[in-house]
Amino acid sequence: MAAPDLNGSFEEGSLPKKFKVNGNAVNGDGSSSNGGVGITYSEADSSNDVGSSSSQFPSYGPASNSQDGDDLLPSYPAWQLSADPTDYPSDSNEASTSSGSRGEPLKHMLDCVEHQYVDERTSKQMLDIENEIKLNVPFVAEKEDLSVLGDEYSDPVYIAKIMDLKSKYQWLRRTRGDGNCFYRSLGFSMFENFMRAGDKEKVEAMKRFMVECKDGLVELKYPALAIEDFMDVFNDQLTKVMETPTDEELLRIFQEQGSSDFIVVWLRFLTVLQLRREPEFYQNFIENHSSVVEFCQMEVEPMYKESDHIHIIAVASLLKIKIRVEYMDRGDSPTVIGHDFPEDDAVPEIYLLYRPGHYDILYRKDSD
Amino acid sequence: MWGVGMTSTWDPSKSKEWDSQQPNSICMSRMSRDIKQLLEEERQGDLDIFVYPNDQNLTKMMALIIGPAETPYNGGFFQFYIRVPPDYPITPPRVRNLTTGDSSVRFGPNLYNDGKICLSILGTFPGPSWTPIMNVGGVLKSIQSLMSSSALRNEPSYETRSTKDPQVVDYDRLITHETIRVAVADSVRQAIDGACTFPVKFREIMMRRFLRQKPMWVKTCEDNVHLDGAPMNCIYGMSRGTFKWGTVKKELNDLEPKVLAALDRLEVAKENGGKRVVKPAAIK
Repeated sequence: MAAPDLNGSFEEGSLPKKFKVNGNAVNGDGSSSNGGVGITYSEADSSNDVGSSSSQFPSYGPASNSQDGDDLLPSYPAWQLSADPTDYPSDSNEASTSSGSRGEPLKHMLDCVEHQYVDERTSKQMLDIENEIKLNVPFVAEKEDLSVLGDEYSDPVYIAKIMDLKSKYQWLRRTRGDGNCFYRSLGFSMFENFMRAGDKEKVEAMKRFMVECKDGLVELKYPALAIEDFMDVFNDQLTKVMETPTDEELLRIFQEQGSSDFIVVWLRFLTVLQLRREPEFYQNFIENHSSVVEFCQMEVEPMYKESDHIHIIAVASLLKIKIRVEYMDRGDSPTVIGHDFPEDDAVPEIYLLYRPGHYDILYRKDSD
Repeated sequence: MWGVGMTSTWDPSKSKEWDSQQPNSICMSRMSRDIKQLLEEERQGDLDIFVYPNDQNLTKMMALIIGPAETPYNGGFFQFYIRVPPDYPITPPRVRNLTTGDSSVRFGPNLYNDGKICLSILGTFPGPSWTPIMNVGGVLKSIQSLMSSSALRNEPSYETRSTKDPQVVDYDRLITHETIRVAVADSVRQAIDGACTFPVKFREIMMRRFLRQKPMWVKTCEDNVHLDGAPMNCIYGMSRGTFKWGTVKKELNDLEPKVLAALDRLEVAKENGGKRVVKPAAIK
C-alpha cells in the first residue's frame, strides 16, 4: 500500500489537470522510478521563498504548543504529569528545545524545503480550486432553464450547439466540477427516476442488487465493512427518497456532503466491480496503466478523479441503465453529438451534458 | 520566508480550517470503528503499532510505531500525531512524525525532518491516492513500511540501486545511528524525565521495550565504534555531524537504571490502584 511500491506506468497524462502544473520531472533527470513523473512544479524563483525554517516547527512539549496558535497536540488529561499517579517528575518547561540547536547547512535546508515547496504549492493550488468550487456551486444545483447556457458563450460554434440542445432539452441541472460530477449526476438521475416512477418493487430489486454487488466487491478482497458503509448509505437514502418523494428531499440527499459523497463512492466502486469482472474486455480501453486493477486504483477508486467513456460504459452496463451523453465542445459540427451507453435502440433513461472536463444533468422537453 | 501566509496541507497541527466544521456522523462512526479495529490489532500484538485516541475528540490521536526488525529502524520509537478531516473517510488524514530530534533528523527519504511524511495516500507524494475504503490503520502500516532496510531506495532515482551499493549501505548505517541516538535514547530519556507530551501508555511500552532490546543496540554500537568521528554524510548534501557510537552506547547504559526505577514507580502506582491512567498495553 505504500506509494513507493508502485512501479512504472503512472503517466503524466493520467493526472487530472489540476495536478499538471509543469512538465518537468521533480528530479530534473526525468526519472520516474518511484511511481512516476507525478506532481511537478519548477518555478524558477522558488528559492526566494525559502528560508531557514526548522525552528518554526514546534517540537514536543506543551511549552511550544501555544506559539502562533498551533494545535500541535490535543491535550490529553493523561499527559498532564502532575495528575499522573506514576509520579514522573514534571517539568514541562524543559520540553521545548526547538531552537534548532543541531544546525543544518543551508544547502540541505534548501533542498528539503524546495522539495516540500513543490508539493505545498501544488496542493495549495488544488485546495484553492476546491474551495472556490465549494463556495460557488452546490454538489447538485436546482434545475435551470437551458437558455442560461447562452449567457456563458459568445462563440458562434457554441451558440449553434446550444440552439440544437434547446430543440431537444428544456432544463439543465448543474453539478459541482470536482471530478465527481459524472457519478453525482448519475446518482441524482437514478434517484430522481426512481422517485418519479414510484415503483417500490423496482427500488427493492435495486437494493437487493446493491447487496449482491457489495458481496462481489468483498469477494475481490475489498474491505467488507468499509464497502458496506457506502452501500448502506446508498440504499438508506434511496429508501428515504421513496418515503419522502419530494424534490427538496432529493436535493437534500445530494447536497449534504456526507450522503452525497458516499453515494459517489458507492458508484465508483460499482464501476470498479464491473471493470474487475471483465478485465479482458476493459483492458482494451486502458492506455496508461498496466492492468485493470491498477487503473481502478489510480483512476476510479480515488475521489475527484474524472470519468471517461470506459467508466460510463462499465457502470451503465452493470446497472443496466441506458445513459445518453450530449457532447458539446469546440468541434465543427453545428449540433451537439449524442453518445449512448450502451449503444442500442432502447430509450435512454438518463441524459447528461458533457462539456470538456464536466458533466451536468439534462432534462428532455417532455419531462416535467 | 517559506511557510508564511501559506496554508499547510499536510500538517495536522496546522489544520485550523478543520476546526470550523463539525465532523459529520458518518465520519464519527467510521472513526470509532477504525479506532476499535486499531485497538483490537494492538491487543493481538504483532504489528508493533500502538494508538492513543483522544476520548474528547475522536478525530485526533497519537500513534507509536516501533521500527521493524532487520531494518535500520529496528526497535526505534516513532511517535505520530494524526488528525482526520471532518469529511473522513472521503479525504485522507494528516499525519506528522513527532520523532525528529527537534526537527533535526530526516529519518529517511520519505520522513522529513520537519515531520512531513511523503506518502501518496496522504496526498504528499505522487502515486496512488487515498481512497475512501482506506483507514488510519492502513496509513500507519504504510508509514511503518517506509521504515525499510536499504532505506535510500525509497528515494526516486535510487530505487534500482543494489542493496550492497555503498551509498545505500552508508545511509542505512546513518539511519541506524540516528534511530538509536534519537528514536531510542532521546525518546526513552524523555519518557523517563517527563519532558513529555507522550501518553503514559506509550512511555510504558517504550521503557519495557528498551530493557528488552538494549543489549542489541549496545552491540550495534560496539560493532560500529571504530567509525566514531567519521562524518555522517548522505545524498541530501548535508553534513549531519559525526558518528558517536561510543557516546550513544554510554547513554543507553546510563538510561537502564533510570528506566528500571521509573518502571518500579509505575508498578507501585499500579498496585496502589488509584486513578491509574495507563491502559494495559500489548507488551510482548
